Amino acid sequence: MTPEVWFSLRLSLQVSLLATFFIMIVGVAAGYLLARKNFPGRDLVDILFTLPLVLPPTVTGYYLIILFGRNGWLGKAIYVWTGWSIMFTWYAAVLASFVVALPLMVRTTRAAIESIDKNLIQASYTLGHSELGTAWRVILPLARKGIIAGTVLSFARAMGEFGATLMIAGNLPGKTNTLPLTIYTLAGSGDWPQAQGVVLLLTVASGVFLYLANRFSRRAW
Amino acid sequence: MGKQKEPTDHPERREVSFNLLKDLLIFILFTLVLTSPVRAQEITVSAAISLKEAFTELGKGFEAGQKGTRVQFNFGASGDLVRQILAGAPVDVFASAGLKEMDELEQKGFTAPGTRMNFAGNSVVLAVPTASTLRLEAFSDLTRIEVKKIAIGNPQTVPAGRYAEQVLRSLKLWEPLKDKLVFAENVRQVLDYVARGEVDAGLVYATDALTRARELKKVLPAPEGSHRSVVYPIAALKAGKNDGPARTFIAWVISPEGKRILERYGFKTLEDKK
Amino acid sequence: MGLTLQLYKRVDGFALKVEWAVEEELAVLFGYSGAGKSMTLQMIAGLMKPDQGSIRLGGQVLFDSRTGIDVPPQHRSIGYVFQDLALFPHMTVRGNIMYGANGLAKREQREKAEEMIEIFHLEGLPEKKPAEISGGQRQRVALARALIRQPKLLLLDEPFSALDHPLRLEMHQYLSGAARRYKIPVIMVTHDLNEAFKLGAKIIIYSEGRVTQTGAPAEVRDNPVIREAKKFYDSAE
Repeated sequence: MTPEVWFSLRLSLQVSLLATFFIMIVGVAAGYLLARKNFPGRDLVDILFTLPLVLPPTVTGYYLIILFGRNGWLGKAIYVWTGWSIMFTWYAAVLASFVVALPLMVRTTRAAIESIDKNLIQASYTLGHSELGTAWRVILPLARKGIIAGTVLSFARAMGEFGATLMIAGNLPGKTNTLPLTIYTLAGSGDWPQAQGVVLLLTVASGVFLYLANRFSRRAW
Repeated sequence: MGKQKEPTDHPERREVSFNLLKDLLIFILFTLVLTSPVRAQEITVSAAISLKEAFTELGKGFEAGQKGTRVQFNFGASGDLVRQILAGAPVDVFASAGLKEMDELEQKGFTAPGTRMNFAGNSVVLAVPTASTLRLEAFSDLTRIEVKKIAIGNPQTVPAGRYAEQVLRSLKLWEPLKDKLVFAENVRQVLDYVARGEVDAGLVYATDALTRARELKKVLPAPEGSHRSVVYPIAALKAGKNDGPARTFIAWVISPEGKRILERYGFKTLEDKK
Repeated sequence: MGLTLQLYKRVDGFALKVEWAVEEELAVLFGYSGAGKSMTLQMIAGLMKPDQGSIRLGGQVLFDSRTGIDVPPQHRSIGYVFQDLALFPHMTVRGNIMYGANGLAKREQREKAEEMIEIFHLEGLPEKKPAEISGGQRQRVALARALIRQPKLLLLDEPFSALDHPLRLEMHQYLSGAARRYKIPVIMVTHDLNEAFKLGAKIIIYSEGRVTQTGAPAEVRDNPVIREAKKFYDSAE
């Protein structure tokens, strides 16, 4: 394994772990709200959260550029304030992975929470526990397996993110070239033997993640 | 509870489903006809993306002169186009922005013998966004702290990136500037990064700078001799089934009229090339 | 210190309009499915909001649509045994029972839980999960959990319908014992005629969202709903 591939592996793990960390926080919260609260515009919010799952990653990348590019809606303000732009940094890779993998977490968490017997939640209220207490002691523990499955899936998706990453983080050797991008470069310059090794690595890893996700999804809670 | 009526008990229903089938069949046939290869001659030309505007116009002129033949263009980074051809893409003519790509195809036996020739030249320039307030008097100014990001094509797959690397290396700026470099997948993407202001400066072809003249300004030409001459070769490919029209297209490109079109877009043509 | 209520609610074309009161006694809500009995319990517990009406328990106003009072379920001090018991599958027996003692110090919670385990004869089971114990034992856990904080009212929604006869009789004992011990109103929904007549000091008959009669068992024997049910029972024998 060349130093470049080694770097890509470490970078991919770093990016995916960080992205998954944020996904867990935001995803579980969003999944809970969508499952438990009926607010105006809920369907729209659900669609917004699900879009990156259905849209081509390049479309997601396009929107991210519009938001975070140096002249983007948010990016411009950030640049004016700090002189820093997220574009072409590994943080952009984290952002791309976060956005495309978040829907997986939101959906699995929502489904897991919705499948909890409503009587249990009502019982908890009659026994004197607040909504927050109930969420913490009844809902989340019972949704645990779904949340774990969602986490594993999100991590796997983050590891495989390519299109949006390419667009906002670029394919900079030694800086932002995650494993999928490295495969692209290796294949693009004709280095099939090296590409093969990396492809094998990613395939096996993804297979393992899927297996784990399935194991957790199958059991009740 | 009476017996449920089966669809076959209803003659009207049977007729409706038959009509539906007929319509479906007609629709499928129609689609097949529309999407089947046009009987008129068509050639596929894969060309470096910096040739996009010039070749599109050349294509129109070619079709006007050759009634019944159509040109299908495929623009991209020369390195990517070579990959496609090696993988079996049915391309009739290939024009790249560097000799290396054509050499590879020739060595591997993909080019039709006797059809290869150089037809245009270009030069490398440093461009910055129009709104930029940077004052760059020499390439070495790129090492200043205000210059945070510089875009060039990926040297592995983009000829413009190779030339850019040559320029920077010859000026001993490659190592100092390495951390600021952002690689783009083709030279038009470099152009885009500069035009959008994502980077502070970029190395593109002089011809590219013209296509988005309002969004960026050309600041410095690459010094004489800092890079190998940018030479565009063109050749017909063996894999194409349209040898005749392919050769005709190449002849058109190097014809006086073709040259005029190329020059209009800023390319140097064979007589001018040193 | 009893329960007084007037409730009105419209849901999907069904209208509930009831008014009744009970003292410290075991009252039974009797009627066919869909008559509005469970809905009534839900509203008493604060899990469903009436369109109009008032609910008073032991002198405290739990709900009054005119003044806008609506005490959340957490603060109504009402024990509720759901039809499917709603025991938390991921907690042990002790855990479930202690869960009902929210607000007390951890040590007090344990002590009270031990007390309940004794009263309801759940020794040897505290570390087990609900899935690992028998149906009758689960019933007792649900009761213990609902009563651990000594609520002012106990509600039961067809709690024993899934039990076989001997177990049912056993649970009747526990229930009567609890009612006597805590001296609180107990309201039980059932559509089992024998159970209603045996346990209920007062029977409140529901029919299509209205109360058609209330009274002691002997008084309601001739009520059409009762007669209809009796016929069904007799024919089933």
